[in-house]
Amino acid sequence: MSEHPAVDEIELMRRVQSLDERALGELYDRYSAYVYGLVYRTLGYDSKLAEEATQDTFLKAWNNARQWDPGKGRLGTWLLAIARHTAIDLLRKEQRQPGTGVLPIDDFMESLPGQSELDDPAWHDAQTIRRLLRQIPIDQVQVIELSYFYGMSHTQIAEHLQLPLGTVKTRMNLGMRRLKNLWKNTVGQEEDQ
Amino acid sequence: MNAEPFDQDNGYTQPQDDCETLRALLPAYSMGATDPEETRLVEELLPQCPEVAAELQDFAAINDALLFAAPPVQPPAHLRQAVLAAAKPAAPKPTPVPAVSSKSQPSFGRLRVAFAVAGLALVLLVGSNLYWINQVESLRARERDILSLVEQQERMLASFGQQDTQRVELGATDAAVGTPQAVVYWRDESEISLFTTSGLPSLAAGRTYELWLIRGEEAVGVGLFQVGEDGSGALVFNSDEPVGAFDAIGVTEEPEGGSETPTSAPILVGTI
Repeated sequence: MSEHPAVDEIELMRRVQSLDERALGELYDRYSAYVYGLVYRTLGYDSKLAEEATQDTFLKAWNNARQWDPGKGRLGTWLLAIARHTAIDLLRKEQRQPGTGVLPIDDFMESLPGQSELDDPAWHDAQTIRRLLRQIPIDQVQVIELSYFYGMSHTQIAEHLQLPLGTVKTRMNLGMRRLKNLWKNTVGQEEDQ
Repeated sequence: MNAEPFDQDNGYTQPQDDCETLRALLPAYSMGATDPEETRLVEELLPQCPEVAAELQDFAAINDALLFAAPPVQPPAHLRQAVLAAAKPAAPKPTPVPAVSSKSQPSFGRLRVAFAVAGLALVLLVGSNLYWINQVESLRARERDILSLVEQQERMLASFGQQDTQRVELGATDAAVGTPQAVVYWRDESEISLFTTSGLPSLAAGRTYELWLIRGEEAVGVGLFQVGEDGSGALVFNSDEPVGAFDAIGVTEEPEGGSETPTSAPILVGTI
């Protein structure tokens, strides 16, 4: 699993940095489903807020394209980090609670990946991390998700789940360490192949 | 990590080695989950514990990977154009036309008023047209969104409608309220499957439905879901083995966040 951006990502962002609007369109076409999926989930499947967060994400990327450093990681990672923070900021601004809303049936991707997805490192990362999360005890996954996707602190999670603070801290520590070890083992195996 | 550093009520059981304290807080710090005091403590201890600090890179990699944990979802079709339009620079303001001095003009007062009225009427007409053009475009955009959703749903159902798609119907048990139904679709070569349901009651706050794959005495939780006001819901879920490798599928009601094993009688069950 490569952490280095592909040559076409570097070229794409060079064009975005040059304010090439077609390049922005290509950036959108490549990553909008991942961005929208992430913000949609964080914002409780509220499509109006998710659209706002998606638009804000791409505009931030457009206006700050020169801040992407190909030496620090892939373009998708940079863009989704912007999306995550944008969605959490909006969640706080709207004073929404995590986990509200219903996942509409119409919003699924096709179940089988097409060839373009199979060639996309982001698709494989997504499949891998979801598979690894299923190997973590569900109470640990829960606190990780509340922190990561909803920006909650230890204290906020403890209040939300009505759990002792120490319990929350322990679950997060154990869960993340287990996930880290699983990830390192998985990445190590893929690099050996 | 040796002993568990946290007690049930709050912080630490006893004074801990500083680096162990840092080690315990590092994962949360990497996600921004530490409270302000903890953040301050971590940043104070990081330079003192270089071996522990080196783990931060590993957790950064996990955090990068978690960005991809949410399933991708196609946004509405009109959003692309909205993004591109918002990125365009604002049109330059027109240069104001210098006013003509009244001394150089003969006194055509009435004519000037007539032209002004005509100009105003023209502006109103153009403005009105632009308004209705925008309304029509907005409706067309919504129509494109709806068609896109329908196409997407049809593609998804077509994908599951292929000849090698398998399905099992789940029926209500005695524990169910009303007559809920459900269907699970899967294909043996895919680790992604689809669960759809109707007729399930909405749950109280703090409760969720959980879907289980059952084999012998083992129940594997594969996802949590809620239902809408009409009692319908759906879940796309991943499983390490095809659904066909299990004996049965069931739905239970669980506390928010789900459970490791079912804690209540199944409401819906289907035999594979």
